[in-house]
Amino acid sequence: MTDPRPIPAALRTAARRGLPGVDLVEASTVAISDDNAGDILARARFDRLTGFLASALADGTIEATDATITAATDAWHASLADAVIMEAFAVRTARLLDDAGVRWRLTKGAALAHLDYGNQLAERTFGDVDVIVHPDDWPTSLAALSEAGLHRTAPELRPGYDRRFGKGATLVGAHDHELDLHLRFAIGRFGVRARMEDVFERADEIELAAHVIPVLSAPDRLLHACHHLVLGGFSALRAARDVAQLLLVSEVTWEATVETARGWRVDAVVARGIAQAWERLELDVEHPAHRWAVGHAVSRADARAISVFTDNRSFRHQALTAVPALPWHEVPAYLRALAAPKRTAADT
Amino acid sequence: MLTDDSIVNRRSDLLWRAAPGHLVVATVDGDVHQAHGAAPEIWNRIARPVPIGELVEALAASYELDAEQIRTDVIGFLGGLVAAGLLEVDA
Repeated sequence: MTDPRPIPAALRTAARRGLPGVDLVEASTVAISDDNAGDILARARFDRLTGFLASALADGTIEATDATITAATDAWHASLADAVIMEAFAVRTARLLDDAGVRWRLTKGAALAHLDYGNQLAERTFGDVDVIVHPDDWPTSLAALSEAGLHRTAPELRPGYDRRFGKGATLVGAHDHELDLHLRFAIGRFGVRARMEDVFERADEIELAAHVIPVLSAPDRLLHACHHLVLGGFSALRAARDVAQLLLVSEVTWEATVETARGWRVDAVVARGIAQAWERLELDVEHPAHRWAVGHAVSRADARAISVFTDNRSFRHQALTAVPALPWHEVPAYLRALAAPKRTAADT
Repeated sequence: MLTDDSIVNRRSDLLWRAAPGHLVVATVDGDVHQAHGAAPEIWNRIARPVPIGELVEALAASYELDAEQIRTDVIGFLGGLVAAGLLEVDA
């Protein structure tokens, strides 16, 4: 989805902070006035950019009043607390999944922060835990997490829907800590095309609190980041920064990402993700992945499906983009699930 | 009681973030502790076992202060970490 509002220069400058090849001379002209400070801080909190913003204010890259600098710094410190609380939650989740024998990978927030943000680790904050579960282990993972007291925020549309078509489920634990349990990177056309088993053939790892955590491989982190930017959350800049960070700082083997994407027939999402990252951050940095992305021919059908997401259409509209991508014999069940959800008692 | 000879290092099974002048530490159970000022630098220096006396001298040199000026504050901060169960101490 796309935030339709114009991106304030200060937020864009903050989101570009630390990227190699980005000219910071421009920043001397970027200032936050008292009139727009509240809006910019709110958007920075929403988009988890307070770390980048507070750091840019502290070093004078962006100018603002002392009150604004203090407010941004306080917001960042609150986000840091959120991040370590979520990492503690991730470790507890890891123990549950490991004990249940579930194959899984950590992705997004904590994974990117530790593996891709290097000396900007503290600036890349996050407010939930994202985990990819092997499709065959989906019921086991839900059972293990449910037994530990986590519950779904929304029930499965129909029995079997998640496993065959769904993106996953959001689970909530004590203190409303949120766990996004993913089966796929997206709903709709590009989600059902994915062969998620592929991402379990490789892994990186991080260590959190002396616990080894399996993480999506770098090319797969880029694949997920592109899905998130193009088809995912209501995020203007942070998702774009993640894509740029993976390419420009982590120097991910992006060709491997494209290879997987081609195998899944989701290369349009990767091309759009990379191109959008450059556009939203107004990057003027040469990179072969960007050259590939802007030169990549996206089919009209893929472009139409992507526009359903970027135009912020409803869940149902987005889910319906899957229909042309499904085998004909699965279409009736899919449409029934969307039109007449039949929720099970166990899910409520 | 902590003395100059006490050897301290932070526990390895913690989650933490350091920003300029701000430190956040959490246990796996989700207990969160925050500290300010020189806390991030002290936290960085106790990533390995270090005698408090050596730590105080190093911090004093870093901040261009006399060790006696900061010893009480440093030991007080470390005592707080011990009380919160975030520190291993070899007295």
